[in-house]
Amino acid sequence: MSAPLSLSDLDLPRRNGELAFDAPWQSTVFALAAAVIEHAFGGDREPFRQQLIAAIAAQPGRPYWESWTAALEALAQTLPDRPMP
Amino acid sequence: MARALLVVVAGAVKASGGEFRHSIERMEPGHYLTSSYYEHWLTAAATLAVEHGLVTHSELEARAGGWFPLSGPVLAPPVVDVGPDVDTPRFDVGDRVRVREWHPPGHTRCPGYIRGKNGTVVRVDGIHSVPDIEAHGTARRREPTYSVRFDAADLWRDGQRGVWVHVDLWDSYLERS
Amino acid sequence: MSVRGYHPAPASPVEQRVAALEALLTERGLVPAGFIEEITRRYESEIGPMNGTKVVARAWVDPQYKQRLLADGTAAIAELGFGGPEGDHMVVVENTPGIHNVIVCTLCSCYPWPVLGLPPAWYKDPPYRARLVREPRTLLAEMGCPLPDDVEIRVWDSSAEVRYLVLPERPPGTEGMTEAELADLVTRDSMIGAARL
Repeated sequence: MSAPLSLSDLDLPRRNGELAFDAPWQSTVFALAAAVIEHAFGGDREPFRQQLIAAIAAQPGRPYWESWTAALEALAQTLPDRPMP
Repeated sequence: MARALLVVVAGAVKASGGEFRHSIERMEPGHYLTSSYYEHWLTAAATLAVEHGLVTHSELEARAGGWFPLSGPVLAPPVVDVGPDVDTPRFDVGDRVRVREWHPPGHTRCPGYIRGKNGTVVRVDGIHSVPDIEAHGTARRREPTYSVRFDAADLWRDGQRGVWVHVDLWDSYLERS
Repeated sequence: MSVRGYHPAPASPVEQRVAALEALLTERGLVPAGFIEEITRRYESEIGPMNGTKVVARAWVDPQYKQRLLADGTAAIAELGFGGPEGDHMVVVENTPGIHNVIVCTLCSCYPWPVLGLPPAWYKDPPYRARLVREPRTLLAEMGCPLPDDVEIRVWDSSAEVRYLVLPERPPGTEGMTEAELADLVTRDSMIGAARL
């Protein structure tokens, strides 16, 4: 399913004919996960990956970036137990 | 009604107040933020009932006629001795191995479609932290990993010919064939 | 929610959740100023399959580089200046006339970012992830990559730390092309194994 053309689509370079993100919220939630991984988990990707695998398994039909969002929400819930920067 | 249900569940499982509160805290944030106080109690009661074996999640969903979200799992696990790191691979290229047939309750990176199946080690990779252990606390155990090759005909009744499926697995997922 | 682009429609539920996450995580000091823009820019334009095409082209013109690439993918890829998250343990698998390799992550969407960028939507979706390990010959044919029955198919499920890159066969009639011209022939899908060149 392709997203409707928006102003932001027009200036994003295309590689192999496909954008990595269909909408700004997807690149935002991707970057937020990167931020949490780097700044709260010292670059360890495993805790987020586990949440992602669980989120996908919990709702296999759910669109990928929504599962990613659910995974980040679940990971964010564990943050109170961790030392913050 | 939800509060009455909670009292019944409390009696049945002898749960503490802290356990109830924790099961509300364990609600998925999107769910928690968008549901009512009533629903928080209902979710807490249902979660504890499932966790204490009074009812299964699928029974709840069948009765509810659809999706019945429960709270997330307990995030503060008991401390366990996970054993020492394994720094010597148990297997070598060419060894026949079988994937252990256990179904862990928590996180694992052993895909379901190869459980109990036999394969051949084709590559010995690096030593990495076992995700099954890492998911459940601060303990860590590091083990060798391998690429194991399976004949598709062994994986599926209708397995296609001339197809080999390679899966990357941790040492403790495997036993000698 | 900060505005990055034009939003004519009201925020959808998932957009609201992302906005809430952004506010929460920023409040906790986890999102430095400009971080989101930098990551977006990097993964949309700089990191991408173009890196992988250079690796393939180099392997085609330099047999010793190809040997190093097949023996230690991470080190050989690093020779060209590529590496990083999701590419710390690279294994390169070579297509031949009798062998076709194809990559998947059945559990989530693991993919070799440093050489291929972010995965396409079809790679992350349930049908590809479930069907490739079960009926790859049929699925690949549906995707436009039919393979004769006597071609062996090797599926690689990236379930641990290794990330894979397929080294496609060099197309015939390309002798005399420069390395840059060869790189232009290579497609992302051929480096996943969903296509042949």
